[in-house]
Amino acid sequence: MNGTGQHHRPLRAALVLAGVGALLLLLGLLIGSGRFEWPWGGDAPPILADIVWSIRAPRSAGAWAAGALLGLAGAIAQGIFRNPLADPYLLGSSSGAALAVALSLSVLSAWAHTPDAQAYIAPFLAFGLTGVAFVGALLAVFLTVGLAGGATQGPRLLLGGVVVGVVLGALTSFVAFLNPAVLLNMQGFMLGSTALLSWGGVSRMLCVGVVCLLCAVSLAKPMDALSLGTTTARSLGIPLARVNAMLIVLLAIATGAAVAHTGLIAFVGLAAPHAVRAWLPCKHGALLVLSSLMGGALLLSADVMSRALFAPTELPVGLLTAVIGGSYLLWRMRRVPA
Amino acid sequence: MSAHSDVRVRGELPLMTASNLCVSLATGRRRSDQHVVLQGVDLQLQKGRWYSVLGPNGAGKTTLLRAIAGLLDAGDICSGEVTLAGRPLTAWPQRERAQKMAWLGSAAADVDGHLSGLRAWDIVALGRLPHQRWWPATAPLTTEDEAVIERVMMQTHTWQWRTRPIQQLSSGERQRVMVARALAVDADIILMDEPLLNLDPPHQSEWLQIVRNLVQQGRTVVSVLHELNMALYADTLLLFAEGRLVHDGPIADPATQAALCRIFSNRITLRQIDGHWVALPRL
Repeated sequence: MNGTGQHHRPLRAALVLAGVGALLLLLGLLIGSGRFEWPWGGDAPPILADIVWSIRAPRSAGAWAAGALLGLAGAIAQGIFRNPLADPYLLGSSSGAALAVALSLSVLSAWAHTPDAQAYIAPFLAFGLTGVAFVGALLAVFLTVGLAGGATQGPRLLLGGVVVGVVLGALTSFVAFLNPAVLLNMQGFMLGSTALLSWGGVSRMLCVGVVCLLCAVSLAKPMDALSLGTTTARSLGIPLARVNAMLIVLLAIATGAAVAHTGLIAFVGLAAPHAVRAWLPCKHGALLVLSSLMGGALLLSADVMSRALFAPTELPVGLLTAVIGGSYLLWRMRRVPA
Repeated sequence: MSAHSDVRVRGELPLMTASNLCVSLATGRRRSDQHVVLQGVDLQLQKGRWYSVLGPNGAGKTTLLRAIAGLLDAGDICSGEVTLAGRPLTAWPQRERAQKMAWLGSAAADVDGHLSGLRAWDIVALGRLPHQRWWPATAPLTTEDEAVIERVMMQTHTWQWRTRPIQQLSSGERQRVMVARALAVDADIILMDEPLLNLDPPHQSEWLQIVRNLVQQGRTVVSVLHELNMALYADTLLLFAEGRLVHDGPIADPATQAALCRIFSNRITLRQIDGHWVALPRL
């Protein structure tokens, strides 16, 4: 009993969102080149099962996992900054990842002419770029925190994130200006793509997601207290510097893992917590879990639509999330009184 | 009688002291960009008394409350020491200090309900946070926690809308929820900065009754009030001007009355009606 008799509602919402995710996952397995293909049964060509297992399944599961990471990161970001416009990329992680990828591709293209390069390029492209993007995202966040002078400096952190985002974005443009081929290779990354996800990437994102979610939920009570303001939170015994630092590390890792695997997916991290709050006002413990599930469902539905809408042409998934997420937020904005 | 002489009369150790407290807040990045907000403040707060901090705008009232609550950055306190139950405030573990001392800020009702998604009950329950473990986050409240929450919500007449999200409440209703949140800490000393903000007269009287009950239970209340007539009900007035404690004592003391008029530039006059002191503007 909690005096309100409403403690089962978040659990029901979680089950609904998990069910929606499972249905979308099934849809993701069945949709290929714009039409339904049932891979099981006597009539299905044997190669279809391989396609489903090696391409569609990791892609769909990966889209869900990346969306869940972004949804979680969005809920953390909005909790730290108590700002409805806070999104996972606020502290410069996307710009850091983009610059790291641009630099790597630039170095790689210069080095690829040497005779022994080919032996290293394939494994690097398989995992190295992901790792580089992840490290780039993390370094950018730490640079922002360093410039702001600590994890408790809310307004300075926001400003630092904007500065780091602009400067690193300019550096990425400069790298692309020096080496135009980089721009073409980075297109998938900049528009966001789930097309190249592998089982390795899926398992990495799921592992990171579970660990980040558990850690974030363990900080749910301090996050609730933070929503009353930092001074009130301190008066309630919350070690603000430590809690903020932990939340920023979780934000950086969750965002970095998603960006590294799928590139820049817009609006999922921003829209998922808003959608949860609009549906079911709840405390951070439930909000973090539900935002993850909502983010997963949002990105997976965008992924399915990106395959089906203009088939056989496939739309960049980041483009769709921007249109869907942006439209949703606009709709919400008009419904909420000024 | 002053707050200092309370010690001699009662022969008890003060619950909280501040000695030679000096606070300066940074106004820029240079070392010289400092604004001295409090200087040379000596205070002794006794158990079971209500202290009302009074002074014109910018006198340092809110800063005093933050300083004795331990909510200022260490660098802001240039000299002096605050003790709680005979122990320096800085030596108290954060959680134990939070159990001992509750704080209500002046902007408490400005909580962003759209972001928090918290209901009135959830916010009052946050007052129990110093007494709880954080993990597991979904662990139910103890029976004692629930009893305290129910009691303070009944006292503040907020129980009837405990399930309502905070953004659906008026600013006065929110303020009552925030007062309930501070009371839910069940602390020995309660610091309140403008607790009557947005409250209508019946709920101001209700707050007064709550404070009197707390004092009867042996709790200490320190409030900053802009409702001067309510503040005059306090056991001791702490009168501040330009960052200094210029006088402390009960309103019945002619010296306190004179000091009170002085800190407000003699723009008020005091009268006694039905045994209560009231301050009227001098036009």
